[in-house]
Amino acid sequence: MVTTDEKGPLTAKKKSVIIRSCDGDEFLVSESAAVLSTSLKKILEEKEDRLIHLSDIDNKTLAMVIAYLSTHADDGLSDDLKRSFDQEFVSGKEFDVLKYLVLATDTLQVTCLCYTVAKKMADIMKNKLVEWVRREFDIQNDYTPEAEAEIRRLDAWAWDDRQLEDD
Amino acid sequence: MQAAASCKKLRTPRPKKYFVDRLSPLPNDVLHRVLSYLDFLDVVRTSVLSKRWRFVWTSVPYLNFNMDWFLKYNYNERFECLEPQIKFWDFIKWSLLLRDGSQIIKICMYSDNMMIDQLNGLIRVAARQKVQELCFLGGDYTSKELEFPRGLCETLIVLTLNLCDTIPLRVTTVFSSLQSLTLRGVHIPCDTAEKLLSNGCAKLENIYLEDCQIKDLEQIDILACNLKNLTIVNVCTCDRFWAVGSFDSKLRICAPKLLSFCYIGPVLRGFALENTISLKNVSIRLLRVPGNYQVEYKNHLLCPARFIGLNSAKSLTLSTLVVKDRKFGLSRDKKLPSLFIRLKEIPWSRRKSRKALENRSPWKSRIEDIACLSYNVKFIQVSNLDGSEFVLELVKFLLQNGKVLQKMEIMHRGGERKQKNFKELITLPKASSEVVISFPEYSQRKIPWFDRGDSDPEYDD
Repeated sequence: MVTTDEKGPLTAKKKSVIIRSCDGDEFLVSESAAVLSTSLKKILEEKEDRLIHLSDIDNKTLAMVIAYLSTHADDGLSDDLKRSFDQEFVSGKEFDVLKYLVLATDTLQVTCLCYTVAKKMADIMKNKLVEWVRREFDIQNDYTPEAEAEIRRLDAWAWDDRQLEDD
Repeated sequence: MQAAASCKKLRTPRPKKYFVDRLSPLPNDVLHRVLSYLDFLDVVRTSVLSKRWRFVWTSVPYLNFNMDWFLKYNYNERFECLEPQIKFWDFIKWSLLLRDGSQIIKICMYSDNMMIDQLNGLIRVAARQKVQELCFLGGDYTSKELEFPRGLCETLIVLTLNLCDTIPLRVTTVFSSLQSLTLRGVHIPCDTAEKLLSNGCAKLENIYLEDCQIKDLEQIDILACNLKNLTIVNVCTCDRFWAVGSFDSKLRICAPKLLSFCYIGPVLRGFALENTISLKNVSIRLLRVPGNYQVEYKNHLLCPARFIGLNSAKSLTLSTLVVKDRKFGLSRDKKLPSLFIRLKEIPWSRRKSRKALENRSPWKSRIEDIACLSYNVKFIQVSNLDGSEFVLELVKFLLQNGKVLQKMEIMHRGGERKQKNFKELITLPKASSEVVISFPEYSQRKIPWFDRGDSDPEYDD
């Protein structure tokens, strides 16, 4: 089951790794799942340590990432099933949940999930008015009205009279 | 115990419970990743969100330009064609000029009416920027060439050209970093074909060609030492796409790492797979086969001797025409565990060919297939059955000879009319005692590309 690696002793047998979240909870993960994260793989290659502490990722996010890694490490599942799992995985999640996921996957370097989540976030923002984005994500507009008008005037090439949907 | 030291630090503060900006604190590279899926017009407009956002767009390395918005909001009857075009290219040029100088990784551009001169300019910018991924969707009606300068040939990793018209492509040198090549609606002159397909593109893993023309080549060589997937759909070698015998060259494939090969298109004049020991899945569907092909095209794809190289395939998918000659081209030494037969509808207007089909010698007379069928094939799937004698006989033949057959899936075309014929199949004599016959829904098992365009005639009377 474990991916064979020329590095040898580490991945010789099926092993588990303990990952601790910033909330202090510990998760038992098979090594074949953990090495799908480039950062975890590096840590495992450098140290014999079986306990990895992630001081930046909370319980809820870590549990989700581990669920994803374990599914993708399962050799019994076909690629199609994994793809539909990915779609299922990101659908219906709140923007903030996605945000912590994208940060966690960026930290752990789980590229595939990072891209999927980022795409989902982009889908939420797609074709929206600037005002909508500000309101939705609580972005404080610190421009004066004059300054904002000035930017729009300077970048006139990007500010045609296009009207976007305002949800 | 703190192994986290070597783990990349999360660069944002911990989530706070109170009312706070939900987007801006993300680090720039994560923001770039999110913005990479948006139209670049939306990306540029983020500059007025707040001061934090003023220059975020200038370093986004993924650019998507889409002319749709410019067409939709600049529609003007008097300048119906040109005005949106000019604004669109204006937008592209300003977005490139006002960047902060950081590298561009990907340029994707959709426009249904491309100005080739402008596009060639954009390609030169891409070359200067050492862009890794280039994607042009849309098309134009022009005979001008798309030109790829040397610099770009060396840096590109992914190239996708999906054009409506067959636009000629000229490349200066081999694509030494290219991993994935998708060409649709492209005219590939012979020197370009040689640079792209035969030699040099050492990193190429995926090739997808559809509706392309490759002209003036006696033999098309696909030589790629790292190629894993090769799909050729309706590629021809002469001007007339839909003419009989529109592929007038030989095709030779030499790819030791090839896993999957799919060919859909006209009969080939010659075909050889060499050194394809890794091959797993093969799908072959022929279109527009001339009625007298057996006489005129002796050395064509259909001839079993030309199936060299398919020997190690794990699954073989064939359409009606390939099996209509009552042979699968399976030789004794093939170790093929799965066989898929995708029958195609023969329109009633083509009764002649239908009749010819039904009057051929019976299946059992073809003994050369039996060895492989008997001892290797474990799974057979027959799709789109219409319940005629011909296909029932085929299923009977397969069941009687498949000694190690474990599973057979039969998918019939909609309609109740002949369903009871299929139910009778379960009671037929079988060579294997373990075989399980099931009748899944056709739609659940469709193969992309292969089952597309069923209206294409496979026969030509």
